[in-house]
Amino acid sequence: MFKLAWRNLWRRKRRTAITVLSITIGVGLCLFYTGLGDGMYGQVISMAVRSGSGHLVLENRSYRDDQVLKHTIQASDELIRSVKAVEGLEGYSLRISAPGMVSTSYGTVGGGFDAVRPDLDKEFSLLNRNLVEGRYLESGRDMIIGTELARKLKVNIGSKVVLTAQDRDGETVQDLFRVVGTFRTRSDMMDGFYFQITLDQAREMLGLGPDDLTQVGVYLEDRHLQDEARDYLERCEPVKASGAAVVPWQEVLSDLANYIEVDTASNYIFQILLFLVILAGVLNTVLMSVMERTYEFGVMLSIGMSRMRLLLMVVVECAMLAAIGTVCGAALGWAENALLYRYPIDLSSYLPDATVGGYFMDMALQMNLTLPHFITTLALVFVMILIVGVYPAFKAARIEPVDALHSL
Amino acid sequence: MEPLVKIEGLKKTYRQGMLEVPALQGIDLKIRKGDFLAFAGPSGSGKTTLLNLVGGLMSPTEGRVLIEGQDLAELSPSALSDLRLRRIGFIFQAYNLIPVLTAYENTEFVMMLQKVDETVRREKCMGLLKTVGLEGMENRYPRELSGGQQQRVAIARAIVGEPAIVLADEPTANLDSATAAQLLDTMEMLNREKQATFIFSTHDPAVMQRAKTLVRLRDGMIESVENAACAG
Ligand SMILES: Nc1ncnc2c1ncn2[C@@H]1O[C@H](COP(=O)(O)OP(=O)(O)OP(=O)(O)O)[C@@H](O)[C@H]1O
Ligand SMILES: [Mg+2]
Repeated sequence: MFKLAWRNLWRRKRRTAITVLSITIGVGLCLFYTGLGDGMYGQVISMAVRSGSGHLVLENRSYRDDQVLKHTIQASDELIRSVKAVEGLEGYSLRISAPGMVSTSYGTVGGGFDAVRPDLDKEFSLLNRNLVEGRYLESGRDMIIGTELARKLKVNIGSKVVLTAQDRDGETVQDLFRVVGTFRTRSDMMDGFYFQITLDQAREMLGLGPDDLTQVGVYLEDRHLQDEARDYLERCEPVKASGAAVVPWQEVLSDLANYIEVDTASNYIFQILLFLVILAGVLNTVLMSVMERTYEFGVMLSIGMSRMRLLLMVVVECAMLAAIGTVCGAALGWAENALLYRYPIDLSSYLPDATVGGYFMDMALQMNLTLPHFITTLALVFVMILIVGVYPAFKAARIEPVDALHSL
Repeated sequence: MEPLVKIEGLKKTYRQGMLEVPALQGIDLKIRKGDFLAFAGPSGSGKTTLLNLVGGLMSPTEGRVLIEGQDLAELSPSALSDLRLRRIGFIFQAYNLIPVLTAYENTEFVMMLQKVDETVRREKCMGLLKTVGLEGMENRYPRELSGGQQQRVAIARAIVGEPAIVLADEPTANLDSATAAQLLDTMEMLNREKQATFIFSTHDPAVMQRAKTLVRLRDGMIESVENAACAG
């Protein structure tokens, strides 16, 4: 039966090539679209995560609901060692986050800041990558601010500014900082209202102990490692002992997470439509090839081939076509992905800047197909083509030999 | 002796919308094993219809067809296709062959369906193609064969499964008279040597002459049955 089906396909090279090609292109298209989606979200998420929290955040259980300095955690050596042991760790950040006001003689702007350890954050910090002028934080009273904030306060590199904030008891405290760098992320929020200082200076200013932190940010090499890392951290003794909660970025940046969820849903709808179009194309080709062979099937039936066998034969042919097409399509999709991952198509010169859920997005089409999506897409297409192939097979098996023999 | 084919009160009416076309209006006939029988008659007399009914390709409006005592109407669809596979060989007027298969593969197809062993298949098909005069053309595709050669492949395929009956609807209609005569030689030879019963239709007087039994049809009824003197 397989031999028979295989021979039928092989002997009809043109028809087979057309069908395989249509499946290949269909699969390639599906993967292209899925990959672009993955790439876009991957970009946005990694950007958001890098400018914000980290993939996972360790913080005081009460901090999420009441973000004041009273709700800190103690970053013991054991805790940090546990974080360092996370699989796929790219880096971690020790932070104190708080609201604060920056003033110069020109004015005052209220915003928020993170106090970080420069040696830890420098590697993966989005701000470091987006420095416009000056340098990243190093020590002491260093501060980096957004270009927009700098413009409003009329400060340059080297300018002194006064930071006003509340210490852990709610008392207002002030301290002097020096602007050492400006950054531009193209996110209005970040560029206009956000700044960073060093952890040591913040602790001194805010009257916090040497181990006090509001958050430990955990940055992963691959966002899909997040759930495992979370499980691991939650089971770690030092983490349990510190009483810290392990919060995923989806909760920290809930607006973005919601946005992506909604957008993904609408994406699925589009994807299903795309799917249907592709399937209609495949159905058409398979159906045509069955119609073309009406006479041949009539001969087969009249010389004693059972309808069941004929049906099976056509289904097997279709399965082979689907298999070959899916494999070729997978190769095509993989190639697209490799190409568009390394060389994203830069559209920023054609399109206006865009933000996704408040985060700036590079206007570059980058594919970054995730393995689960790759496999599900392929499996789905394959199964759908099989299902689609059953209809022409039934049609073939229902042929009346007498009519078929009359049909020429 | 039980006849190979027994046709009793066979009627077939085609329905074409509101119109009813009576194609066969009551045929009774017994066909002996080893016969070389021709249905003759003008166009529209019901030859094709009768052959299709005997081959179980369609069901009669009235009456019945028995092959080796088995009423075709009592068979399930799958049993019927099995009967066609094992007991009946078909040759049609034209386009008998599967275009993507070679002469050899077309012949082999029936035996493949019968699940005959590969080596047996090979030996038998090659031998038979040689018998019908196609030695050396086994690997040609139908489009690379002449009409007469194609019909020889069809004959080889029809009899390779050792059926009790070979049904042939105007097998010579698309051939010139010399080629037709050669084809009939082959059929006669197979009838003689392999004891295959041939039932065919024709409106060619030259072909009718060669039949052992000649059944003349007119307007869906048997006009006459003649047995050739030598066959008596
Ligand atoms: N599928 C059909 N639908 C309606 N009428 C049909 C059909 N097939 C045959 N007929 C009619 O039945 C009658 C017998 O047809 P049949 O094909 O059996 O004749 P025939 O002897 O084979 O003719 P020919 O020598 O032209 O092949 C004719 O009147 C024909 O028009
Ligand atoms: Mg006819």
